[in-house]
Amino acid sequence: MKLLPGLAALLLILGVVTTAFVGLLLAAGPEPADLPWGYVASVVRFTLLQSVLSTALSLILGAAIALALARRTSFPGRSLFIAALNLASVLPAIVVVFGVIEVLGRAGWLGAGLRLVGVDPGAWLYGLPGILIAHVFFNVPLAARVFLASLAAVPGERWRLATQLGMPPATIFRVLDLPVLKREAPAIAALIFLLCFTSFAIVLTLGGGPRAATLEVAIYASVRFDVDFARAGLLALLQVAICLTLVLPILWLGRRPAESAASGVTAARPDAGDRRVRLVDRIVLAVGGLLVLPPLIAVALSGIAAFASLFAADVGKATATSFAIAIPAALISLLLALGLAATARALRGAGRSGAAGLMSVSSGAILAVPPVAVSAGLFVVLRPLADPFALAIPLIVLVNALTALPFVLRQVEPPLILSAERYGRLAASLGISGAWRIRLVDWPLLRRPLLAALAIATALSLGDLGVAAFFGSGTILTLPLLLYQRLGNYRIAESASVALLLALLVLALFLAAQRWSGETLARSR
Amino acid sequence: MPRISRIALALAAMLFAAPAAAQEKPTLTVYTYSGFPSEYGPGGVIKERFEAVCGCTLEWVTSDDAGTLLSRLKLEGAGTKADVVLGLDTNLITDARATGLFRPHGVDASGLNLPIQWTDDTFLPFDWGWFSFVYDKRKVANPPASLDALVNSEDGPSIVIEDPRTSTPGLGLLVWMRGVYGDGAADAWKKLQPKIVTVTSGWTEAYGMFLKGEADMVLSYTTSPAYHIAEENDPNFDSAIFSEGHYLEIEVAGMTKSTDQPDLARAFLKFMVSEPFQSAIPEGNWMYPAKTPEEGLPASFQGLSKPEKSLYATPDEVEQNRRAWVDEWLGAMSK
Repeated sequence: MKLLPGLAALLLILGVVTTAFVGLLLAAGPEPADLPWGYVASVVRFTLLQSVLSTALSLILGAAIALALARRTSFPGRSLFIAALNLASVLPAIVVVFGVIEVLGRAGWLGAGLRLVGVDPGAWLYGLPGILIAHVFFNVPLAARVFLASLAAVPGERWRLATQLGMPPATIFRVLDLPVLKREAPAIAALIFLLCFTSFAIVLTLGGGPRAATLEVAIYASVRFDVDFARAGLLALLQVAICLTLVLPILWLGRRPAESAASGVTAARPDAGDRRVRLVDRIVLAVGGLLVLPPLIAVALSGIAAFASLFAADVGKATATSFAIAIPAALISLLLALGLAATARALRGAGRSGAAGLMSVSSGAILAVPPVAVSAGLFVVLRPLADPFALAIPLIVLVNALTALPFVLRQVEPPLILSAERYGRLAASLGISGAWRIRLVDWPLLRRPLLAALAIATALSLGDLGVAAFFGSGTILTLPLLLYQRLGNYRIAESASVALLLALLVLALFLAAQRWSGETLARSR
Repeated sequence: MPRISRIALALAAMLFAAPAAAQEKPTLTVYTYSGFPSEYGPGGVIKERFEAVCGCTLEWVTSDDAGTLLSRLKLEGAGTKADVVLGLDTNLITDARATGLFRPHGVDASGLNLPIQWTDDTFLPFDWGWFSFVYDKRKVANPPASLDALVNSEDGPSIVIEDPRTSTPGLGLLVWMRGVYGDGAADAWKKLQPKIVTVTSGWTEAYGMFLKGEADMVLSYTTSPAYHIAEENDPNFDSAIFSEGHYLEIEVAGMTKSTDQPDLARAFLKFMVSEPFQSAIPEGNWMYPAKTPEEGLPASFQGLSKPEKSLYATPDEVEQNRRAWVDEWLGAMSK
């Protein structure tokens, strides 16, 4: 019975992925695909290099920022900083690319500054450096968010004990923080790796040339002019195979030691007062701030110039459509994530942690499949059954929900597992089960992450371009599509305003989620 | 949860609104790329003007760009709902013709004002342009006078170009390099490479980066400066005119075999090369109209730099060689 929600979610995910491949095969016809193996091999090599580096950098810096934020629980602008971190991880890639260029590019702030002292920075950004910077910009906040949530969930008893034992900061890190980071690292590493491995717009724009390419680029290229679905399908299969081979072992490492029971008291971390730790935290937060804030500020500044263009009728329409897609997508995503997480928890309880891990991996399956393959595949399979135009919005909602799923799962799975580990046996011995267990045991721990997850999923969906672009008939206009339309018609300042609007909406979502969850948490204490 | 039910209602309204409105008059379904009927493209005016004379409803159905337009058409096959497909370019014509989904347009194309004589009886042009490198006169004082000068300049202007695998101008430059250098194109690409800041997936990203100042020149069209003149009153943009000549991009439309309204589709194609459609093109799509309007081109187009010589590669030539040329490019650029 407890397996049902997860299995249903799994079925839906695998159904969409399988449909995509079946569709591509149907479109490809009987002719076998030929691949330029030499080029593909060099692309795979580069893709692996950049994604492994991006993942490692993102995890290290993300963990450092999470630790600093966990220790510094109150400083002016903390919640705004966290909201900015969240914002950075969900903006559309093209917005981030322009933000990064504005700051670090030849004509950007850095370039202008260097030219003042007589140095021409040249095009250093384009190539591996630019790709890594943009990927780190996206994924450090993602890692920091997940790590911070887990660090914040360390039971207060531990900190009391650490204080009583007079543990020095280094010991606290080793005994208390490191196990938490190690526990969460595999899943978040897998997600970041998938995102970087399949990166498209960032790699193409900041890569500097075809030397720096991903398989995703090759797949898009084979559909774009060649309209070669056989090649696209084969490349997509290759991509999925590589991702699976690399991601599965990572997740295998992610066996977690069970948590002990906790009473839910809160206590301050004893290492927060240490002077050296304080200095380290300041440096880390400054570095994090320097990484994340300037591109965001650049996006805001370039958006102000044509702010008046946001009062056009199509902006209102696009905003409404974007939310009409994003909100249902976020809710579906959340339901799927809860289903997967609940079943994974039940499986883990029954000692089947391998199967539980599989639930977790499958949440990211859609990320390994190129959007163009998903859209084309669904299109081919559904067309005999119904008019794809009429299905456009439901399909966009579905695909967006699946795309947001791994992010949402990272938010809701840890607290769900925690509640089982801390209170599961107690609940069982008291005979609390079903709806009562959800209400009394799970809900207090889940409430905050749920709201955050909803905000993240909505934001991701608001910023999504890929599938909407393919399915969109003339009547569907979302904010990212509008951004592209304006950019595509020379209106760069006006498109920057749409980017600013998108960023402001997402920021508002996160601040609202923070406020709601913060208030409810305060009340429950 | 009232909020969700309201969303459901909104969704339902969006899904059913279009078919309901379409029942009274015949509907002409025109597939095009998303920029064309957007708020900023010429599609809105054209729809208005055509509906005023056709007694029909014109429905734009959009795909991302010309490439995805053809992909979608291939996926749909003979069951496509398209009556007319508008926005393919000459590079895609051979592939599009091979689908067997199009029928002769039956429109007289002899009066068109293209730099070449148009003879294709399946696809009809609606606009065209020359590929060129566009620059800002305040930043580049002496633009290269030929493609060869650009390729061989030591520390010449930096450029941003588009990927020939994903973008029409990118493919245009690939053909251009082959046209000028023949089998020496790979070497020429290697010489050009140090000046290439980056290669983007599409025109949109490339032009955006150029305007942000990341490169001195961008691979675009000779008509791009007209936008800055007309909309921003900024006369500082110009095209570098190359002595070898400039390749043409010609955008075309065709009617499908499967259309259930051949007369209406043909009427649209006729309308397409007539004054009301063509006059919306220059300052809507920022390209040259296939047939120059009676009162001439708008002021913003008057002072544009023009190549002395037009180059044109036939669709068949491009189609036959594209893969080999792309592989050659990948080989040269990946070193």
